[in-house]
Amino acid sequence: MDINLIIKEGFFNSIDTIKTIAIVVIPLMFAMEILKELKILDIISNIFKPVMKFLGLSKESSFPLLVGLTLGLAYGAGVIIKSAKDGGLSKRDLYLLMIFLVTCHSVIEDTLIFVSIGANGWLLLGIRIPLAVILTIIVSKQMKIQTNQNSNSRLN
Amino acid sequence: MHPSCVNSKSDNKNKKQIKKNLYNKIIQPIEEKFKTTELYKKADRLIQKGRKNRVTNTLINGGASGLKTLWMLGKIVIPVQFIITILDHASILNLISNLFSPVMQYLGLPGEAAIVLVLGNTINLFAAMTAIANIALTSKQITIIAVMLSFSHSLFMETAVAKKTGLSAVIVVLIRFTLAIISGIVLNLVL
Repeated sequence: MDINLIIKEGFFNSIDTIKTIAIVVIPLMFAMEILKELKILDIISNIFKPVMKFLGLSKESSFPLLVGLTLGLAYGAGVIIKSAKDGGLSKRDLYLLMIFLVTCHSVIEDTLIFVSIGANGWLLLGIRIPLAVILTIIVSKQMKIQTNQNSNSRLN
Repeated sequence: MHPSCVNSKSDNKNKKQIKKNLYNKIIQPIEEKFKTTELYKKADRLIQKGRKNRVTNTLINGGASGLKTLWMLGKIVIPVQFIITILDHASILNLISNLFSPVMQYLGLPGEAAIVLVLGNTINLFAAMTAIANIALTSKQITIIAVMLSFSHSLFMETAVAKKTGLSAVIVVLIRFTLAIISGIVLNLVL
């Protein structure tokens, strides 16, 4: 083992990797700050409100969903917990939202990072988002069946 | 309580004490000296001024989180890169590759890619990126790894976040793993 070679290789390869990641991530940080400052997500979430029904979610959940999708899971979870405490979200909404966000979050950052090393970004998005949507729809249907069964058994 | 437990606890306390002492003795004087310099005062005044304006405030926030990210990247990328380089030179990487290639072939990936998946799932995507840079992969293989990792990554940290909202950790990990493995196998067949 040549220690000099290891140190040289380790150092220069690290710098290369940091460079490729930083070129993507740091401009994104600025974009995210602007997104937060101008409250663009509030405006977009209004447009997405009708789509929420399709996922089995209430209209109020469009904002936390968008926050999780763009800014990341930790941010999204924070907004979800806050709006659940304020009473905007039901328990069912909270559960479904987290199922969706756990499989599909910070899509911009993740996708761009992988595109920077040569992955097919459209394919990546085209698989990740539809699968998360399908999963959420399945879980929401399942929850509806369960609650119906519960209410039926209570009636009997 | 087992005696070893007590021992490890006091060890931890000792470590914290040592860290604190080091901070008080070495870093704090440097910090204080730095704060009295003209450069720091100028920068501080500029930042305070910038905070008052909405546009410059956003720029400052973005720059600060950019610097934090750079620091976080260095802390992860440099150790991982050195470990992989050492493994490579000690020809342990080849051993790992031979060991995992029978399993990884179902995903259409070489044996070394097991390291990428493990690093991505336990640490985060940046650690996985560091490993990818050291392995020769085709664009199809990179896309397969990207889809698999995008479904399941930084499991320890993100499961902890999901648990805060009341989801069970087992369900979260199960969903993410199955989605990742199924998508990997299907993509290998389709692409």
